[in-house]
Amino acid sequence: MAVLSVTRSRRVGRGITRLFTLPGWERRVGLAGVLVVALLATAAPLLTAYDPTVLDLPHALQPPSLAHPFGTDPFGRDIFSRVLYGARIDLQIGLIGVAIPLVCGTAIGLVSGFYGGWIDGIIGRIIDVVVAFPFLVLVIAIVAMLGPGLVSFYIAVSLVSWVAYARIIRGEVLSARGREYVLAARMLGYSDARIMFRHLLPNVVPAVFVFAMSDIVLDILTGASLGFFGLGVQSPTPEWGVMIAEGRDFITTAWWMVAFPGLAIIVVGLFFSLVGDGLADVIRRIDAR
Amino acid sequence: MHARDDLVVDNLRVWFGHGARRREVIHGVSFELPAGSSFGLIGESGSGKSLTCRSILRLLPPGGSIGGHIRYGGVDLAGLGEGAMRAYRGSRIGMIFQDPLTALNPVMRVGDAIAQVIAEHGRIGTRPARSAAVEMMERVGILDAARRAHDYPHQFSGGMRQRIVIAMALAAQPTLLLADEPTTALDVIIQAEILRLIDRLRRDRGMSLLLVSHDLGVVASVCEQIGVMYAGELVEIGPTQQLLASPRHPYTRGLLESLPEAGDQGRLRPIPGAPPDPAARPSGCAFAPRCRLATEECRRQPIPLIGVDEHRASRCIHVQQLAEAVHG
Repeated sequence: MAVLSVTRSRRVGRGITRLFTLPGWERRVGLAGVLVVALLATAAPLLTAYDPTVLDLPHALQPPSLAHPFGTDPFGRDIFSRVLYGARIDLQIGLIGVAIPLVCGTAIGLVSGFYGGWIDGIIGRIIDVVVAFPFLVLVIAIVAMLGPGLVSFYIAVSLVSWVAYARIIRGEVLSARGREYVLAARMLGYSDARIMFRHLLPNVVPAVFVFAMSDIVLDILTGASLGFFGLGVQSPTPEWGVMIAEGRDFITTAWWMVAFPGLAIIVVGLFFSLVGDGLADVIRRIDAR
Repeated sequence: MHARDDLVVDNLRVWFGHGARRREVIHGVSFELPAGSSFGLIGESGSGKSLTCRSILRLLPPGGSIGGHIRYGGVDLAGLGEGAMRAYRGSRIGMIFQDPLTALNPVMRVGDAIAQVIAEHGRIGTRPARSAAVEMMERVGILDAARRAHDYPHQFSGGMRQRIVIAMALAAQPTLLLADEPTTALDVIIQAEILRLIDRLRRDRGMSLLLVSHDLGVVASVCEQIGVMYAGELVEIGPTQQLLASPRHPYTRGLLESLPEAGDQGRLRPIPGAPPDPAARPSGCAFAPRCRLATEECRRQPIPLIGVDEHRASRCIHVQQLAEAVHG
């Protein structure tokens, strides 16, 4: 088999390499930053000697120093370790909170745009209803009903934010559906599912990945907000929003308690935004070709 | 092989819209395409030639419905369920399109696209399908096919893309090929090459060909029979040679006279007027308002297809006058 011997996995590998080799510095800086943050989160136990949850009252509320680079909180816990371990939770919030609605919303948008008619009508009305509520209010309401915690948060975010993905995909499908290659696929006797997932999906999905990058940022912020309100991750688990909430009362006396988790949110958000911008740029260039 | 893969289109009608806004756009088209033969449909834009072609695979734009019979190998396709119909699409009936760029999925490597058709309809594994795909590409005249199978559609020229579309259409070894304006988007030299290719492949495989074009020259070069469509109906039908040498319908004659020839200057004679709006068809002959021979009788009632001789028929009551005009 000399012909067509390049396997699918090797192609995917080449695609990922290309994310770095293609020109455009935003995407590369963003990707590198995200990877570094993920690496730091994974290697947290190696980077800090302190357990993020163990109390050490004699060393409470110490300003940043060599021993505690980000200082300590009122319970003597090392803020640096809590920020590092917090990255694990917050990255998870960003990824899972985006993955579920991305998959569901994409599938729903694909069906809606492809079939049109009454199916599209019903899905369109549901989308309108969900969009009518402010995002954060709806998420908080659902979490409040289900009870605080990460699982409630994922359920709430999935129920609310799939609509954004469904709308984007539906629009893309509507414009792609009229192309002759879709007609050609039907002329070749392919099933609807095959046309949707193997022919339409690869053509429409890039748009959604760009949005997903900014959605990750939004999700981390939402997760942090819920943590701040006491509806998300519960103390003493280190999570950036929870940490900012804990530091609220000390903001005039121990600024490091809010500054460092806040900075972490900003930096991660910036990296993901850079990736999103860079991806949008790549897609524009491919479309222009 | 089945009964015999003859295509018989019998009184095909196509409607669009519902209720009071329902309009008939194809008014009872009938023709036969015996297995292994070639038939060309010509006409202006909007004459219904493409719709007729698409009706055979029952893939009309949204809102369209079909009446009449489309028998293929003894089975009436017009009455088949969607599932049964899918078994015909691509496998026994292939189709190629006007614009070879949009007809190919831009994010799929061409080798994969062809291999998919083979794997889907031949029920064979991916690997043998891929080598078959490369073989298919060689057969439609793509050089260095094994390497080019990895390329994406945008890396090919227009003519090469159309070859790939043809390779896809033929990959499942259909017995009938529908070609809807296959060369319209190509320049004249490439056009001739593609037509030669289609003709050669048809003869090699004993396929039937239904070619749709607005270009008489294109149809004449590969088709044994020609049907001329006007305003949703066949106005003349007959063997290519005879039809071109002595048209028996004023519209066909108009088409021939409006053809430019190399070296001609100022001799083009366009057909005056425009085709009728499907919503406001004249009561009699649809062509009468543009016809030089039209009389009162033409406008009174619809004109049936009248046999001219055993092979030819025309929807014109002034056939005799036309025959004399050509010979005299």
